[in-house]
Amino acid sequence: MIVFPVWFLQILVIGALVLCSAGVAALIVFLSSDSKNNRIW
Amino acid sequence: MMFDFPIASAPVLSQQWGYILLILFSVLWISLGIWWGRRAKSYDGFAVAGRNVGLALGTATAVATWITSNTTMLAPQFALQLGVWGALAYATASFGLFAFAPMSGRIRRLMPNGYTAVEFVRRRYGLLGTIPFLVISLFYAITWLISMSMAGGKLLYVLSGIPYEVGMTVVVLVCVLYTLFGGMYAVIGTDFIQSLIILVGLVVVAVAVLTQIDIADVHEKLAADRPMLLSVLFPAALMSLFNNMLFGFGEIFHSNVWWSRAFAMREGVGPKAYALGGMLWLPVPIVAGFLGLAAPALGIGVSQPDTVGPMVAATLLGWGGALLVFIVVFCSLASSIDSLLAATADLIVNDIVEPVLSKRTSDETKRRLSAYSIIGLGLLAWSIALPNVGTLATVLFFAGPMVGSCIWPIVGGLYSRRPSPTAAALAMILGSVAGLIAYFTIGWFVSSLVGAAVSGLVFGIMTWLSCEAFDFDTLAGPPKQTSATEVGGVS
Repeated sequence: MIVFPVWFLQILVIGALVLCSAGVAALIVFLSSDSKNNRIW
Repeated sequence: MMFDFPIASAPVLSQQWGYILLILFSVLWISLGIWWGRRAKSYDGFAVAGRNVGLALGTATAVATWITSNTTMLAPQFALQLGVWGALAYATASFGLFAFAPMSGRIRRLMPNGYTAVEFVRRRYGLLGTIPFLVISLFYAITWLISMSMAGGKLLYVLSGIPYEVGMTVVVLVCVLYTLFGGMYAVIGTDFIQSLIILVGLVVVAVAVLTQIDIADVHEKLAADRPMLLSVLFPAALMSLFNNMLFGFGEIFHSNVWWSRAFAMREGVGPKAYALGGMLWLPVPIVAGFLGLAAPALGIGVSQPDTVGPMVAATLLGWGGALLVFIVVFCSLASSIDSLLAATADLIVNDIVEPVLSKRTSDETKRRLSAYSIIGLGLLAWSIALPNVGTLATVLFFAGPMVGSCIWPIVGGLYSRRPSPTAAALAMILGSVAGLIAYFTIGWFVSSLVGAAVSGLVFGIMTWLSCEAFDFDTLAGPPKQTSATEVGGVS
């Protein structure tokens, strides 16, 4: 049986965690940028 | 993303703390709803947040709405039962957000004063296309609303022991109240806070797991005890992959939850917000799924697979983990229920009441009708969810082939002048029927696939046979009179 290698699982999990963290940072940066330009809504 | 399974397990948080959190967050959401509701003076403000939502709130609302309680609870179960492919299959639901990104820009340009997806179908395909599309839209929205209400009661019971009736009632009531006060402003505003809480909560729990166990140890344990979960060729998981993806495409392309956001975002924001929303949503089922994969390696016995995520968090982080999971789940529930209430109320007002009245309804009347619709939808969901009939949850799986059959009529109608009303109507009806037959004769894992395939085939043949030359300019509808309250709606 062909199984996913350990490095694939590592990339998947660490990559997903980095993306989630980057997402939180991106949302805060976007909010700050929208807020500066008075364009939140 | 919409799935539902029965849930039952021992609470991971005390009932007292469950009530404290429930009260705290209920007060927070309702207060924010009232605060943001001050902006919702006109109907445009209430229904589409003044059509001026920026990138931050636009991106967050796409993420939060697509993260339902099932995304955080069911993705670990998918991984525990279907392995790495299970988490990846769940993550493919983000492709719907990527695909909708360019569509949202076109929708906003073609219908600058639009409110609903059904309005597009009515102008594009007339009554013939509207009837099946409205039936599918309402069926999907109402079953999803009932399913989320039931999930709210069940999850709060599982997590804290709060009785089902109490938890379900509070979740529905809170969402109805803040949507009623703040309309789309409240829905999108709370989505921003909810998306931050969900993403941070998931990262904290996953990092806590990684401090206790290495990914290589998880891999080693799975390879020794449950090698199928690591298999590259796991048939059951592979079969569900394309079905889930098409279900996701169908859900997003047809649902007014997503169209109303496209109308609410400022010109040019929609494509970026939906693409970024997809990027931010993509890792959520993978992080949540990792909790499921880690459970066997951590020696956590799981009697109920659907509670594996909370069990892992509570075991590793104790009281704090259980608290965090409760908050994440409550946010996931609220972010979906409020969106459904607002978007379905728009359907009722703009696509049922206004056409039946056969006259242009004033903004004030539409605002009042929206409020009645939100209360009515909340009452409907509450009364059907109250008896907690487990089999009701399975009804929403019927929506899979039905929404799958809407993909081609929506995409074709949005980008090509050729498709006719007959092609759209037949594609939706025959696709739904074929998909439902596949659901009962083969299984859920092929129903959306069959629905979308048959619908595509019918739509293609009918478009080839009866070609039209639709004028896209007619989608804009009659010019709208702008009231004083709608001018200069920036924050």
